[in-house]
Amino acid sequence: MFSTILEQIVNGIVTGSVYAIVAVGMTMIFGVLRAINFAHGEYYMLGTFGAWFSIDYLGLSYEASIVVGVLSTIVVAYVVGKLVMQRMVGAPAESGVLATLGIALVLQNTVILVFGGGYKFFSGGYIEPVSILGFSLAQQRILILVVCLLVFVGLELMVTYSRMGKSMRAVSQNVDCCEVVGIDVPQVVLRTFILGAALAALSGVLTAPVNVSVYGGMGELITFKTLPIIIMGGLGNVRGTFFAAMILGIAESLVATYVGLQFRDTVGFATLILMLMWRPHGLFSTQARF
Amino acid sequence: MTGLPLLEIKNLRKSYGAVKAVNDVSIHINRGEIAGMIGPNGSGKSTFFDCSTGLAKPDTGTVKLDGQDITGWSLNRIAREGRMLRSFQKTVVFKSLDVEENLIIAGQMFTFPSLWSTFGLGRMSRQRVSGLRERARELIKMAGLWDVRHQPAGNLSGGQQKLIQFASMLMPEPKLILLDEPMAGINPKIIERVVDTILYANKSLGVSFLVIEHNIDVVTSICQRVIVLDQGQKLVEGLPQDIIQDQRVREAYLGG
Repeated sequence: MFSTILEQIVNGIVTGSVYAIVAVGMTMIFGVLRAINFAHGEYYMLGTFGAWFSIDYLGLSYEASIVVGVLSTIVVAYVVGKLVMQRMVGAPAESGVLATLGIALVLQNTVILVFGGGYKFFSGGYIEPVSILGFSLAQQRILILVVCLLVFVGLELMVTYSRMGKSMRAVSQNVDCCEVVGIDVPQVVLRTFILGAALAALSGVLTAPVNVSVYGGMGELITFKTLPIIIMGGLGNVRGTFFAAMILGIAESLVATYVGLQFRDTVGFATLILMLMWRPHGLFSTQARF
Repeated sequence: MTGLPLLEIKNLRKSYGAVKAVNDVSIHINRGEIAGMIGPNGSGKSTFFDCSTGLAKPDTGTVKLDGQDITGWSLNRIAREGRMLRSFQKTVVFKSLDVEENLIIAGQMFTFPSLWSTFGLGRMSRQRVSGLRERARELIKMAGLWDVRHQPAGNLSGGQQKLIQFASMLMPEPKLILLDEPMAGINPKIIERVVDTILYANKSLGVSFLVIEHNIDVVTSICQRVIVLDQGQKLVEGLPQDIIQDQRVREAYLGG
């Protein structure tokens, strides 16, 4: 009994890591643009498709497919960033919602149009199980955990110490003030957006061997699971996002085991409703940041 | 080059619908000068500032900084590449960053010179950062903010935030600073401090100024030349003591 719970918690942490890598990009993009990127899950999907394509059509190894998946997403993100996201600086919130929902539709349907709407089998990855402390865990899941930790340590350092991180914090606080001191706001927005999209793609490529199936609509659910996480974490808060993602991952895993698999995806939405009712500023801060 | 004025604005026009907010105004600012700009409310001072600094597009006219045509450049590009900065009537600071961080960010004019430096890597980058820190500390001392330098800017008083903003604007080694009512809504003690800081920046750092100000004592004490706008046009310009005696200026202010 106890070991099952523990096993479910470990699974939850792995799921949480996947969410965390996606959500942190979305929360950073919110930070600089004050807009929820409803297309965020689509970059997760693009990364996965890029990797799947390079394995199935180009015959590349899984390692190379990670690079291809992320790089191809970066190219798409650059174009979207230039054409759409940069124009959202200072635009009203509604235009951000419409624009990103529009991007989501375009990206999703383009992929379906090109590759077809059916489920595809993702064949790469390290699926050999290894046994650690009495658990048996697929290597891929350990890889996801390690990458998640590296990503968050790196981001924490970047946001605190690097020039780009400081500029991101500056833009998220006061766009007018940035203009006064000569910070190129559209450029910071573009770079943050590309970074966020690339992280979503990385998460997609890393999860693909665990999820096995790849399809055009897979990004949507990710977008809507990311929403409660970034709100729980406190919009724009990198560290909060990490813990919020873990909480959702573990909760989903426990609900799936003890309540029923069909209720798993309701956890996120229930959390979203509860958060918006009681703590719209997030679990970890006492007041709204924005 | 020294014969050329630092800032030369020619035939600037800007209309909002039928309202001619700025109607054919030409001015220049000399190197090392502190010039004042006064005029009744609605005389077009702020619109003139906006058009000169890239916040609004002038309908016609040219803005030349150091002989370079900067008409139509964005505000941040003028600040970064032209080294001409401006303030707003509203004080803008990064509220959750502390005073020192505020200044350091302001000093990072060349936001991303290279990808390495973006992440704070490389020897050059580290040298630059330590140089920035030294400069920031000097300016913080001068602005009288030394005791509060590690406090978030948002916790400080409005006057202190004005000083932070002002010190931030001195970080990127500007050539020219345009101040939009720097003394509005702050107490006399801080006014003195801002005046001292302007004079220090002008004398020791060689920064030129164009100041919009309603406080006529401040204008007469720091400005070498005053430009008067009225109803979108330049009414008169000259020495401060002559301007305050000028009948036309008095009439403009009294709505005559």
